[in-house]
Amino acid sequence: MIFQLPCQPPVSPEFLLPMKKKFLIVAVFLLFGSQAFSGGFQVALQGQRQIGMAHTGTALAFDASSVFFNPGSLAFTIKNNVSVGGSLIRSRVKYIAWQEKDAPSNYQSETESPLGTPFAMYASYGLKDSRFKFGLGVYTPYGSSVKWPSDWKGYSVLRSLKLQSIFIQPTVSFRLSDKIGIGAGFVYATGGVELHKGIGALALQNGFAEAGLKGSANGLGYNLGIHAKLSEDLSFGLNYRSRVEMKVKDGEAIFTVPPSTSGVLGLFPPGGKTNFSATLPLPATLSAGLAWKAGPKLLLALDYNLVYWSAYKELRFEYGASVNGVMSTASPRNYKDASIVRFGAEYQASQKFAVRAGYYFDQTPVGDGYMTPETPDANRNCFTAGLGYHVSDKLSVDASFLYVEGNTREQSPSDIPANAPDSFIPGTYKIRVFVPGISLSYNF
Amino acid sequence: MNFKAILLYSLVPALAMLSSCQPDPVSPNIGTDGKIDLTNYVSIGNSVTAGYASGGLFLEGQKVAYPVLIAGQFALCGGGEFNSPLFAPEESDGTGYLRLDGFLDASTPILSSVPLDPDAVEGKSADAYSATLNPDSIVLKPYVGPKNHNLGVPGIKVADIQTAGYGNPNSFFGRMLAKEEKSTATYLQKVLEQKPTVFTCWLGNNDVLGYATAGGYVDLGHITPAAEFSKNYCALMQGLAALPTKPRGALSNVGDITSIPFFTTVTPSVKKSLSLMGKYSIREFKFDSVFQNTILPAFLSDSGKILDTTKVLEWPVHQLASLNSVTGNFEGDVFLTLTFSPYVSELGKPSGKAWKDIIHRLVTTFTLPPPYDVYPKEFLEYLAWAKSGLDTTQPFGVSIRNPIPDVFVLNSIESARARNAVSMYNQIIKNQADAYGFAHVDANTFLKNITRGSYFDAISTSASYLSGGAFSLDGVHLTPRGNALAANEFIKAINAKYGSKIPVLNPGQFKGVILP
Repeated sequence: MIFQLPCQPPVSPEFLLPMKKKFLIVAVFLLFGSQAFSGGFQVALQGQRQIGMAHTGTALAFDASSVFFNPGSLAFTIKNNVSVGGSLIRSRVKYIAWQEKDAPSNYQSETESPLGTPFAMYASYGLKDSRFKFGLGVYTPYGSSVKWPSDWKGYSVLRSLKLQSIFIQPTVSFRLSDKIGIGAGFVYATGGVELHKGIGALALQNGFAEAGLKGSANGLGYNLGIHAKLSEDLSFGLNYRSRVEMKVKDGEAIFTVPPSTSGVLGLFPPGGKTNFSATLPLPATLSAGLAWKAGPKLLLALDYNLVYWSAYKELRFEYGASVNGVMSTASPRNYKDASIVRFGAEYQASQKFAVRAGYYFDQTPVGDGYMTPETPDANRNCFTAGLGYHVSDKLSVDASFLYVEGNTREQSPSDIPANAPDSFIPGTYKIRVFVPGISLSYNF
Repeated sequence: MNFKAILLYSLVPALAMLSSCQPDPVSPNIGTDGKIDLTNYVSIGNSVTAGYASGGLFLEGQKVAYPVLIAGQFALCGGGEFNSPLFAPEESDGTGYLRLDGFLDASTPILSSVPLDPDAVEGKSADAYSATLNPDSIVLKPYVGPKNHNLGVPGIKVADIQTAGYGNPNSFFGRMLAKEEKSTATYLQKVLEQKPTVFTCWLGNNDVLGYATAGGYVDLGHITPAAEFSKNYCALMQGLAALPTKPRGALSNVGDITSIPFFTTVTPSVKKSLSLMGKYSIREFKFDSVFQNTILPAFLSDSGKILDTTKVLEWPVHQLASLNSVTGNFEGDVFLTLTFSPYVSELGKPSGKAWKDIIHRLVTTFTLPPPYDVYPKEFLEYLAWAKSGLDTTQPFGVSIRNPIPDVFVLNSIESARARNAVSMYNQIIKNQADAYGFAHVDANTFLKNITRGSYFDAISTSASYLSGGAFSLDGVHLTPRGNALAANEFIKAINAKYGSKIPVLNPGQFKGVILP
């Protein structure tokens, strides 16, 4: 089976519990958890055909995947459709220590993040000749899985982070006329967060103390879209995916600390355990797209995304008991809204084969001085390729490949915000990501 | 093309690329650029240089001494072999050291002593307790192993470096020497014999530290006069500069000793606790010298005869308090030593704990010659106690009859004296660095940086005892992390002076105090 790979990340039981049984089976099968490889921790891998075309899709009406890309387009899809797809993310971040004058450093480190496996499943159904089309999407639009060597230089800022989210989106789409369709979806998001960081001030006989935070989260949102056929060959789409506040209500914070510090010194809760709550905003995205049938065999698409990352102000944890003298910790993020511009093309090489290519520029939401080991983000140039094959009238296979090259980005000590020096590490970061993916699509 | 083939065509290249997705490394530019010969590095210094930590010299500490760490970085740039006079694995506890066993409460750590390793001592196995109090009394086994490059000698002062036969009183130096050299060699000779191509020198702390850590109590340590310091220090630098190897080197000055946890840990809480009692004055008096100079000589003066102990008890009580106690304003530059920490909670209470320990310590280290050695130590203790003039029913640290022992207090006059000495030494060290073109490490600034509470490059340090990160349990010597920070200071100074690009260490990978 193509998804059975040697390096699957473990699925946390908490994560599976809230899910419906039918999804559970799929989830065990696929495994999810992806990596920070799009701006921030957005995961732009929601449809294999679209990925091949730079993840454009706001003005495309291919199949049930419009549930995600634009509910307004769904009503223009011709057949009923079920599709299941997934990707494999292999990302590496390289870190090189800051080079201070007269104090060069040969220190470097590299993430050893596990393979990420985001997935997307869609189904659509509409009666023949009906203006309504109903859809359901289960997909993973945000996620991150970053793991640094446990003794790396920045262990006191981050050892590992796993953010997972699954959006479940029932959708209805309505064709107002032959030219205009609208659609709306309701989003229930479920997921989890797991974060580990060392505590450099507390040495243990073996290594350093560690704080581990783990909890499941959920949130609500919506997805609205409008699709307009400007002409026979030109379509326009507008899509707004709302912000989803992922709330961890009863997470578990475990401090692996010297017994004296959770005992007589009272720096940490007794037994080193308490609960925590946190809120992580998954930002809203406004997308506008054009699709142009440039020739009988050539389809071109252009998308613009504006991601409202400014919602992510800080990463804050509220504890159920005093932790090292405080009830909460906060680390500023101060993300900025970021734009993404996407160009994609599909060429129908033969009856059965389509080839795709695309490029997009992904602007980082992370400001100077705010690069963290969890998201050492930089502007990225992204190249995509894809292949489609019609096995039969009903069944098709789509494969894609995405290559992300992040700019080398330097963070100097003077860039780092003075009020939170312990959240950031000076140095140079570079990210590179390879993502192959595949999906099956069945029309009926 | 069938389905399988398509799958292969699309996935195989993709999967192949998975194994090669590492971002390009950008290697930093490191090396010496031929500007400095690192083949024979020798470290000159005292206990810090030797790797002394938590009140003792032991194998684990020796391995992370800052010169060892510097040598490790030199090795990345063509540096040669560097050996320390390590204790053998079977004598790994060395002179013994302090261990943190736990906490009584948030401000009271429980420290215990790992005893002197009997295997580290030559001849008879020494009494571990007295050896801890008086390391000069032990004779360590000679170091056997490859040629030693770390000439860090605990206890050595600049005043000592031209003393012939210094290996006898200081066994840390003695153990580096061949038997026949012990009574003749000077430290300076041994340094120059090594013909280093590069050296680091961090000397001078002990010329004032002993005085300061003994609370300015001169019987336990005096300050080396500047003239004597200058004479010896200049001789060392002149000797090094005249070597045919034309060594490069870095000289470190002496940090402000009153900024280290040994003085900053207890002081604020004592000041606070005395101010809460509405009293800003403490009294200190010099008890030890009176005991040793007055009581015991009197006790021993009747040589040849065993004294009638009842008569001894009839001696008049020495009015020590009125003779020697001082009332000082406990504000400003007055420091309580870390060794006072067990007694902080006794302040203002009718307590004789501090005096009991002092007297016990004195009596234990005091050896009566025959025929008086028939007296049990308990008797001496009883005698000292009875004759002290102390009244421990009075509030401790407040009453003139129950004052804080001077050995725990560095008063403003004493601390000014210590600081003044440090500033004179540092002037001499700077002048020598400039005169010979050696790099200069400002340990004073370094100490200030690590003690003021800072966070930089994923490392936080402060002067907090135990949790500060840089200072070991004795509050004076460095932890492995402190050693890494110190090593970086030397490397930076060398790079700045000679234009080399020797890489610094990552101090975050080294530990501070390990909490139980």
